[in-house]
Amino acid sequence: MEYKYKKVMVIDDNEIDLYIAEMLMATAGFAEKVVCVKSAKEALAYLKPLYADPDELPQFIFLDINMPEMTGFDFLNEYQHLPENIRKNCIIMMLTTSLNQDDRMQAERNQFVRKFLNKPLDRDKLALCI
Amino acid sequence: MASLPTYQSIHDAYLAQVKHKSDRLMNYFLVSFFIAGLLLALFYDTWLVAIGVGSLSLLAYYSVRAILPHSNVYQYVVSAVLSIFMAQFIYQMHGLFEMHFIAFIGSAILVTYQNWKLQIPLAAVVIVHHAMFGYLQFIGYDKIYFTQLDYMTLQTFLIHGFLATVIFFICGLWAFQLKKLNELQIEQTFEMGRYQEEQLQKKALLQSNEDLKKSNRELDSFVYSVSHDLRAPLSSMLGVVGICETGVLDPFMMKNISFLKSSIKKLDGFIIDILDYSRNARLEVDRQEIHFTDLLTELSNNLKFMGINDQRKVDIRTTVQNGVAFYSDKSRINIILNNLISNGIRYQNPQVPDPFVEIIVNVSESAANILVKDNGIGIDQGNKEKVFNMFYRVSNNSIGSGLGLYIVKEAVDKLNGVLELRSEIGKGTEFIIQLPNLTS
Amino acid sequence: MKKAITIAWLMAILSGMAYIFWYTDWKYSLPTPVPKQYHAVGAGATIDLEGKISVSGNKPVFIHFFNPDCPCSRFNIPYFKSLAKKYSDKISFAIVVLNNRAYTATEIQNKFDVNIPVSFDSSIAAACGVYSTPQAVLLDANRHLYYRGNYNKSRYCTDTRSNYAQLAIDSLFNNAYRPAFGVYALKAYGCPLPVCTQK
Repeated sequence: MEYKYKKVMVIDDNEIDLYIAEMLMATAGFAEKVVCVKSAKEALAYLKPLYADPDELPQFIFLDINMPEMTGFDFLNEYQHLPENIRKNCIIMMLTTSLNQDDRMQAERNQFVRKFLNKPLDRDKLALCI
Repeated sequence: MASLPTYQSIHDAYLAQVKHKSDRLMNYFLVSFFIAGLLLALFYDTWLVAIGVGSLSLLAYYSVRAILPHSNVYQYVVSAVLSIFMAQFIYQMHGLFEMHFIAFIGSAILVTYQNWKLQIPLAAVVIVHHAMFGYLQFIGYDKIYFTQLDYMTLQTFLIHGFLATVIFFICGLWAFQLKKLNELQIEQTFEMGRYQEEQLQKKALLQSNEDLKKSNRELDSFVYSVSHDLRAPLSSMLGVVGICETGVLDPFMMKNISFLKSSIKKLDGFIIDILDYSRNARLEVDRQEIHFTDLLTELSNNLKFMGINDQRKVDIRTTVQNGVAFYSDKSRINIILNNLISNGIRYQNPQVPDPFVEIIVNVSESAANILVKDNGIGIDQGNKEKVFNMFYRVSNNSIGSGLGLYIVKEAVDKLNGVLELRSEIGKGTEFIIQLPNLTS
Repeated sequence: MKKAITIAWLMAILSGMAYIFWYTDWKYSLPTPVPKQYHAVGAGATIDLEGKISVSGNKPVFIHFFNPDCPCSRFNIPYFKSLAKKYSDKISFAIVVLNNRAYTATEIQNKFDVNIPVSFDSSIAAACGVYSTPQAVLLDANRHLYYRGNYNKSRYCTDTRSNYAQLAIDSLFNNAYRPAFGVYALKAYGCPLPVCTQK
């Protein structure tokens, strides 16, 4: 099967949503490998060591906003302190069910966020990412 | 809050107080006068006059007060009574000239009632009394004599009259001035009180305004939180349903899944509508520059994928004519256009080969004219008014929540705009909206 | 309706007062009733004052009949005082007190603030034909009764225009004809004499 991308990461505290993302990536042929992490902390822990190994970095990061402890925006704050080669390689897409305009504006203002998507993810939305 | 006292009621209360105080004072004076009469009787044994005329005077005063308690006639009676006491004392002392001063004492006492008219009976009795005796003397009625002066000459009469008039006039004037001064004070106190009341009310109003704004904000964020928490599991459900769809070929299962999907979408749509309604009702009108092109692009992107139950994709065409910058509330315009366009998609005409929704925007300095036109199933003439009602749906099979057009109308009203609906069954529907340009 | 009643009532009270004034006046205008055993003493009669009052022989005698209990008499006090002071060198003044209470001469003199002889002998009144107070009796140098009567026109003794006593004195000294004193002068007004219970 032809996958568009090698690796993507999904950060979401909801197990079902992670499952949905994983299944979707597989059936849509979007990514070969999907790294699912349940918290922003885990995501950072995953990314940090990879500065030495940039090939292993995910090409897309799907980031949920509403998460306990560290929200999506908290992750972005931490993300900007990461080394540049990490940041260069990853495209961040924000995912949320929130209809809050402030969230949307804040996400769009952030330099690292490429797009702001409403859940649930589906094939059409993935098509926008390309 | 107890009703505010009116100026009239304060004024009346004050008058009652003046009357009450003056009456009390008058009691003391009248008793003193009566006793003075008794004391004077010691000189020349004028007991009959002292007791007789004195008690008749007091009787006159108190009886009138009892008969007509709510009128102030008794005050005029007391004025006359004071002058009669003067006559009585003069008589008792057999014309002692100094007793005349009683009249002036009486005139001064009357000032307490703050009514200049009370001087009149006093003056009248004195003048009539003098004039009558003077006249009788003049015509030679020799049984009359006047005081210890030899004769009441016309000159004496006139001088007496003039000086007495001066005193009465001055006392009347002071009574009048006193009244005016106190009225002015009452008025000022009243105004001051009213002003303070107003300030307090203003303050309370501002406070309640602040409280309302605060509770609005709190409610708003509550609604957001609630709607978010309601939608999260729904979106998960939709995601899983989507996955099922990809892995299922059995038509029976696919039908079930599609029903599931439509129900979930309906519920989700309803939650979004509730949120829209809440925000429209509560939030103040925001003001920012609207870029219709961007706005419509985003909307059509989001709505492009809206397809329920194998509905065909609807072509969304937009034409924006920008001349001037347009300022308005972005989120409300979003809501309006979103609802209208999605209605256009939802209620497409299956008979028609190319379902479309067309949006034409014309911006001028005063307003933005927006036309949302579709070739959908249209709205029956009889229902044209009803569609804007809350929770009105044209049939049970309708997909919407019934809130959409209601919210659109509310939003247009909130922006002080105009909304017009033209439709023909089977042909299509046009929504014509005009929104004022909030340039400042 | 109430107003009409009130007006009528006030009119009634006013008439009551008028009546009281009128009645009192009328009473005052009445002359003193003449006592039963009155002996009229005509003008010119010789009055014997021996032993009753100490007066010097040559001058005319003015006797003032006074009763402290009589309001009329009391009213008269300042006037008599002024008369006494005015004619003290020409006339001998004396006061006869007609009263049951025991006054001392000094008390009476203090009332008048003049130092003139005081007698308490009520027989002098009878001798002069006096039956009310205040009365003025003027005897000439020969002790003949020149004037006996009121001080002035009736009605409670305040009409100073008619100072009969003054007139009598003046005419006595002018040796002019004796003026015709009218009824107002001669008909005694004032308080009747108290019945003497002690001498």
